Amino acid sequence: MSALKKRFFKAALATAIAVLCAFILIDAIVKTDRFKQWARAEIAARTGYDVSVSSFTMLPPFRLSARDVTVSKFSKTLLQSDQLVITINPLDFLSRTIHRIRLQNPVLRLDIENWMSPPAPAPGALAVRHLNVENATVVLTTVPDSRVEFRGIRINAQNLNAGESGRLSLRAEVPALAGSADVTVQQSETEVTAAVHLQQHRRGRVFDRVSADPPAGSLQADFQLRRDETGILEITGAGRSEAFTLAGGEVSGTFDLGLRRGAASPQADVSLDVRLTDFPRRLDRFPITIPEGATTLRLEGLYGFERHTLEVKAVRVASPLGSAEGNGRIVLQPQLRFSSFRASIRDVPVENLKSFFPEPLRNWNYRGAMAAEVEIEGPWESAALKGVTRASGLGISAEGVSIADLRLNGPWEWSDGSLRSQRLILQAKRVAVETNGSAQFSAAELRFEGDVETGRGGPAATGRLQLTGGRFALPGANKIGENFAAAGRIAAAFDMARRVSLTGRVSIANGQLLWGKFFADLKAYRPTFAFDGEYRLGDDVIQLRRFNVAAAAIGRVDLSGTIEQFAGSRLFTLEAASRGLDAGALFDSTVRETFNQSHPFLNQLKIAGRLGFSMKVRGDRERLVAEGALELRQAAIRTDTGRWEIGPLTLNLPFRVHLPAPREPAASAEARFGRLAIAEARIGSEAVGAVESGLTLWDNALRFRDPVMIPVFGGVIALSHVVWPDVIADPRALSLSVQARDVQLERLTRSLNWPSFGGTLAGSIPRMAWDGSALRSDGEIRINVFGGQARIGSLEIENPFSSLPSIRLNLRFHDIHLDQASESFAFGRISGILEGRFDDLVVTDGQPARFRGEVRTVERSDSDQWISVEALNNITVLSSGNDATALYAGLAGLFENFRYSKLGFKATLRNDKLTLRGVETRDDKEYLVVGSWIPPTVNIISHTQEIGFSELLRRLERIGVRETPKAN
Amino acid sequence: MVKQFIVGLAFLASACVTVNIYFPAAAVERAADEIVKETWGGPGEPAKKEAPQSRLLTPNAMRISFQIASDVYAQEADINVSNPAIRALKDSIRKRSQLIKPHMDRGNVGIRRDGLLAVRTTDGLPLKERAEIQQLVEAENRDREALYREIAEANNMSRDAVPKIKAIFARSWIQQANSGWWIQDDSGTWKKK
Repeated sequence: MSALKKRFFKAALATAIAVLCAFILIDAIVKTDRFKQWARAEIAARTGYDVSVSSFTMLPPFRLSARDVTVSKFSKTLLQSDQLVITINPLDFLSRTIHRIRLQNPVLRLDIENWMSPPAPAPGALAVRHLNVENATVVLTTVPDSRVEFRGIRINAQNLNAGESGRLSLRAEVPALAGSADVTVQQSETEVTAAVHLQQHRRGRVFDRVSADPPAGSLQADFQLRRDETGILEITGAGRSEAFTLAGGEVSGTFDLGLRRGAASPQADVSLDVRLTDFPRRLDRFPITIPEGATTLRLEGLYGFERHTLEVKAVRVASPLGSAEGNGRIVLQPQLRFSSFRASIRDVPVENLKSFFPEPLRNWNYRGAMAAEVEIEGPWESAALKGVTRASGLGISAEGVSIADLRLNGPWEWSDGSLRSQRLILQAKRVAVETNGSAQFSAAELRFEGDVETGRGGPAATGRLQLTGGRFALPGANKIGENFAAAGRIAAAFDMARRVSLTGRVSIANGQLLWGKFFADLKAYRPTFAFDGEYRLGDDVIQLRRFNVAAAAIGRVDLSGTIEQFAGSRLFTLEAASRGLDAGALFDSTVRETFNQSHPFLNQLKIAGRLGFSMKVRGDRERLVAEGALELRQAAIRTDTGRWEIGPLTLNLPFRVHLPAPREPAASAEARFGRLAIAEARIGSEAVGAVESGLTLWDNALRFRDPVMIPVFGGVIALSHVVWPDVIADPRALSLSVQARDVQLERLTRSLNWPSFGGTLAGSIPRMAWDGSALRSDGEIRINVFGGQARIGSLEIENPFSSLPSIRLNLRFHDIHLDQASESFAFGRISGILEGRFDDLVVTDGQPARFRGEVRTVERSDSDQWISVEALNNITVLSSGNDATALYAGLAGLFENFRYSKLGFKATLRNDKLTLRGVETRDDKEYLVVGSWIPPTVNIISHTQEIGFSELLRRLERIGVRETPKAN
Repeated sequence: MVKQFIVGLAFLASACVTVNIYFPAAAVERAADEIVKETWGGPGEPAKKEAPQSRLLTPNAMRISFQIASDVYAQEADINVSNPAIRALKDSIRKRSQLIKPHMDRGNVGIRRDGLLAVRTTDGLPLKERAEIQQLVEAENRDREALYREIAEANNMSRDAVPKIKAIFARSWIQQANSGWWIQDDSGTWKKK
């Protein structure tokens, strides 16, 4: 080590020791009470402030730390700080500057009154190069005992000129506004001016991924505080912001502020003008989208310092969100509060309010504006609002929804997060709704008048609902309703998180319904729906506590139960019941009006009685079971012509119906049987005896417990083996057996107004089956008539309920005593025994349409064969069309009867043409009557073999086949 | 032996019998024209009041000819179009025509290419009228189909003949439709006559 280096090392070491000693010495000095007293006195002398410190400590290298600092002036505390650190640079002493002052957790107390006080004389000015304040609290005293606190302030200021007379300037970071502020306060004897320039930092710097730098916002404001010689204090301010980022958006505009306070007056006149050309379209915690456009605000009021109230004489706001005028009182301290604040709001676009609406209403589009008179009362956080809202001509459109003209008028109250409106009138005209499935609903007018409340549980409405000009059209052919007019009271509650409940009673006064071929004019029935139910969203369950449908002249049906998995497979557990439905009105309105064109006989039916049922329905759409009982009381069925009548009829039919049919039919023992009882019936003039039987409709099958015995025409007709295996899935598959015993033909023919003849009818049809269009039978019916017997077989009845019914059968007969038959039909007396057959006999529309027949007499030793002149003449007329009265009159003078050996014919009828051939053909001659070899005898030869049906009718009319009057 | 076999085979071939059953199209056309005129009155005419019975026509609807190597076209006589069923159906159609014609005039109902009626449009009509139109058209079509079946049965035709009768009637219904009525062309397009 050279001597020079040694010398330098020694000098450095000596200096360090000296500095260390000096540091220790200074630290020891500053910790003394004497230093504290000296410092307090020195600061007071230089600045006029009284500074109290609990302890001083030196921190390396040359920082002076003061604990529990209190700065006061005129016995008023101005500043309190947990710690104050002063960094001293010996070079700065030359410029009377403190290098840095750092404050932790200071509380700065400012008094506006003191700002206007003349500045105290300062022996010397001090400058602060750096001022760092952490977590500061500023307490602004406006009037004695009235303070406003600003907490959490952080300031980094440079070149702070303190101690100079009436001037303070600082630069501070304002993190809350993402910028830095330059504040200059100039104080003179008469006024204080303050200029604030706040420049926001540019974003999109080096590490910002945003490529384009948005312009940095700025706020420039100038304030003047002036007190004149009379003590009147005036504060004026004006400012401008350019793209100043605030609350997530940019604010551009200007403002002017004015405040004038009399000497010692507790009040000050306040005016504020704000003109904003740009501002955030959405504000935090305020879910409204504000449309673009300029907004102006002008406020004039009176500020009371003692109670911190702002009496707003007038406030006018004009904005794209509407315009408003208001007045009232705003209390600023201790919390913001409105008192009797009234505002008249106009031209508020509903589109901008939809964020307040619940789903799905907030996604719809709105056209038009609304107005409101509002009164605000209470603290800002929980203010109570009430007012009246009016709107007209509003338009609403959404996917599948449109309302051309919506009117709204109603008072309302808002408090505690709930909106209540009483006597709200909501009137919508030209409403149209179309679902995804293309179902369309529309109404000329839909009006609601009632109370609405939106509490925390969700909105609820109670009131009167009125619909006019309602219409719906469902997908598919002809499922339409029109001209609906309905009214009623409803109560609806929408707890969108848990349940939607609906209660009410709605009556339809007018409307036409077309459902396929079914048409109903509801005006005649005025149906009323009473309902009480709810939809539980979480469970996806519809709970139907009550659903009643009542129709005038028909009756009422009550429904209750649940529908689970409503959005899915829909599991039904329902109960339905009805008592006293008018069976006649129900028949007229449903069956007759719908099917009378295709089944004209329905127009002749008259039905009376009371219909009731009760049933439980369970299952889903794939498998549904309905179980219950059907009751029909005091029922009667008759034709309007009086040809037949059934009733009084009583029916109790237990049923269990499956949709679709059950895979396995239930055991017979499981089925519950009811009872069918017909007290009376009538066919023509013939009374039918009482009929009673047990029956059931179980597992889709209709069964009778016992044969149904029908006492009629002196005999009995028994219906047995009635098999209707599935009345739901295959209603056309029906079969039964028919047995007839001792039916008296005379009573039957009389009751049917046929030519009367005696005899009995009996027989058995083992199986008669309905295939949907025809009733076909096996077996035969035997008719003991005119001393012989006729057998009817292969009986078929086609289209019995259509406009063109027809009967097809085969008829065979034998041992018919012609004397009895001819006497019955007044054909003229004929004796003999007749036999024959008619095959494929078809009677359509009451007329014989087709047959192949062969009729002939057979000789019997116990029977003569005579024919009267009258009968001869009638046979002649029928076969030839010519009257042979003159011929027979001559013969009749000699004989009344003639012998014959054969009588009969072969005939076919087809296509309105009767081909008639004789019972015997000789020499190309057709003999209808072949004479006997014993005189007097007669032959009748037919020369006309083909007869038109109309001609045959004409001939029958000529001979006048009729019933022989019977002498009592 | 071979020669005899060849000769026998040739004989059998030349003696082969062909049976042709001819559908009496012309007769059916005449009957169709007449029935349409009777029931609907033809273009611009009211329907005829039907006599108690239609005239009787000769039952010669179908001819069976036995021939060797060539067909024989027989002159056709009229077919039967009168029996109680046909009379009742014609009467039903005639009565109903008075109810349907106003709807045809207004274009609500048109004649399909198969001769049946169809509801073209019911826009603007009261629902009661729509239901009536629907029921009338269904009933009318049911009667027309039944009429074709009855005509076939009355003339001993098989069920296969019913579509032919229907097609022939379709031409008559369309030809005798009033001017201004809507009819469906072969492509299914509705046109005003």
